[in-house]
Amino acid sequence: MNNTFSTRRFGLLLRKQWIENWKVYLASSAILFGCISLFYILNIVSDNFFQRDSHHITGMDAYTYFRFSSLRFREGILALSGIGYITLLSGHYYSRLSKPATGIQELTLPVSVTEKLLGGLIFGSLLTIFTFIAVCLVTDTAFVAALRVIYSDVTFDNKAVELSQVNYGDGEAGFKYYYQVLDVKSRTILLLFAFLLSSVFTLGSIYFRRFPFIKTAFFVVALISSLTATQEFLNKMLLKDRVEINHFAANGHPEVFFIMFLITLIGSLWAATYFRLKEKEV
Amino acid sequence: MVHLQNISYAYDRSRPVLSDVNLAIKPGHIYGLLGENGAGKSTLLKSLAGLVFPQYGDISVMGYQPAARTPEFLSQVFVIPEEFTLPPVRLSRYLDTYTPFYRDFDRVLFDQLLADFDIGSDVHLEQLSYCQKKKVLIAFGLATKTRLLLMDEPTNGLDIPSKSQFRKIMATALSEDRCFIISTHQVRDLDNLIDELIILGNQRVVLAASIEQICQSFAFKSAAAMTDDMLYAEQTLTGVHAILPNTQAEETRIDIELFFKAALVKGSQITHVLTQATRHHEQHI
Repeated sequence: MNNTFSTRRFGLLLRKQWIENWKVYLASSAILFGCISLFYILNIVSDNFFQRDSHHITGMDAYTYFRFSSLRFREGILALSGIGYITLLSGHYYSRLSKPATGIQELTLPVSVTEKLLGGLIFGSLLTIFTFIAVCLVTDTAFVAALRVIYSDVTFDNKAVELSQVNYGDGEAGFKYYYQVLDVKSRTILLLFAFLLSSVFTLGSIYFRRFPFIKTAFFVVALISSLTATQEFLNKMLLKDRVEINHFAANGHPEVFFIMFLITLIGSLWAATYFRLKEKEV
Repeated sequence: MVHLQNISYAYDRSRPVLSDVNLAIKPGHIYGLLGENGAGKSTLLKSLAGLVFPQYGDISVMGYQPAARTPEFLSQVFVIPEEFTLPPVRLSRYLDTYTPFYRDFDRVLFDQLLADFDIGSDVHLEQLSYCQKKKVLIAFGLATKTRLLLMDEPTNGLDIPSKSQFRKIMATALSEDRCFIISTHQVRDLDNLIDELIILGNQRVVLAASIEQICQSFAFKSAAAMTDDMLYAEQTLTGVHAILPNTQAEETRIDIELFFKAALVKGSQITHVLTQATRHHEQHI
């Protein structure tokens, strides 16, 4: 018997986890769809939808304006809902191990630590993130398609197209699907951030015995705050009265290094999760 | 089958649970693990299943290190914990999901046990009472045919007829290569069930002996009043129930509850008498 990895055993584990958890994913997705849809509706029907934004346009009527300034609420809603959905579901997968009533059965199930870890990766991270993306895409596509149909008689003048380019970067004015707004680099970085967030909360769910979600969230906030404060302090101390002469961003593709950094960080978190899973007591 | 050498475990520095525990457990027996609340019974069971890792000492279970929690080891151990939950699915779905993990699972035995426990064949697990869920889990654990079955307070929550069914079922499920360890503080539930006894107290093994050895070494009697030769006695409405050294090779029925209390109060005396009697018996054989 292979004690590290068996395809048959892994398949049985995935099947078991799906049978026991599909209702959680379905209900969460339904709630996510409902919340995002509600925010779309509230923003679209609000009076602000047709207001001028003097920062970006002048001399244009509100009806023409809304075609390129509307739907900016999407970034905020998708970010907030993404953080909530991904952290909650990622933190849910291994939280069962902390309670004796469920933990004993999970830890004594005849599967290897590697298989349990991969199960967590698939259900805690991959399925969670891709479910979130799917729900957002479906919701956004449905609403934008509906808006396009409703406002199909609106015409675009050159000024509107020009301002759309400023906002969206291509020649098409009007309502855009959100996947058209993001370029490949942005999508990659956002996806990696989602994995990073998922990895942190997955590790937190197995590391902390009691209230893992709250403790992990507190830890993340504390870490980001202290890193930001430290950076500010060091910048002021070391770079006071200095002028930047060699901007790193101007050379090569710094986002590649940033992506590699994120991948390394995610890998480290999963390695920590493996060892924590191996040493888990209940 | 199971060897514990100098096992010590503490949840934190202020709460040692087991200290220098040595134990050898053989297959083909049903062990009763007794102790007061907080004596370390559950911790001992968990250490055998690899659920907690002792800070000191070695544990070997069927030649495996439980702490490694390999699938090969885990497929030969089944734990029925005191607290448990069953997934909210039908029994048939539960069996389809879990039985493939245990290659020796006996479906015929499981169905038979379920019938003995008066549980329907395809019930929805969420709709069962705690007692019924426990019976399902006990039936499943026995049907896995794992070599080591660990049960923590299995009779908690069972009604009186169910406890009787449990005793009957456990006795018939045992085989020469299997070992059951039952941890409980409901001592009377082990009557006519166990053939080996382990008593924990003060973080150690106070006593580990077979029921046969105990009955050969001690006489359990009722008397009108206490006498000096009684090792331990308790006052009852009709007189005293007492434990005496079995100097006359009498056959008496063990009173596990009385013996348990005696072992906790007069552990060294009880152990001394047991050792002497066992040595004497072996010399005569």
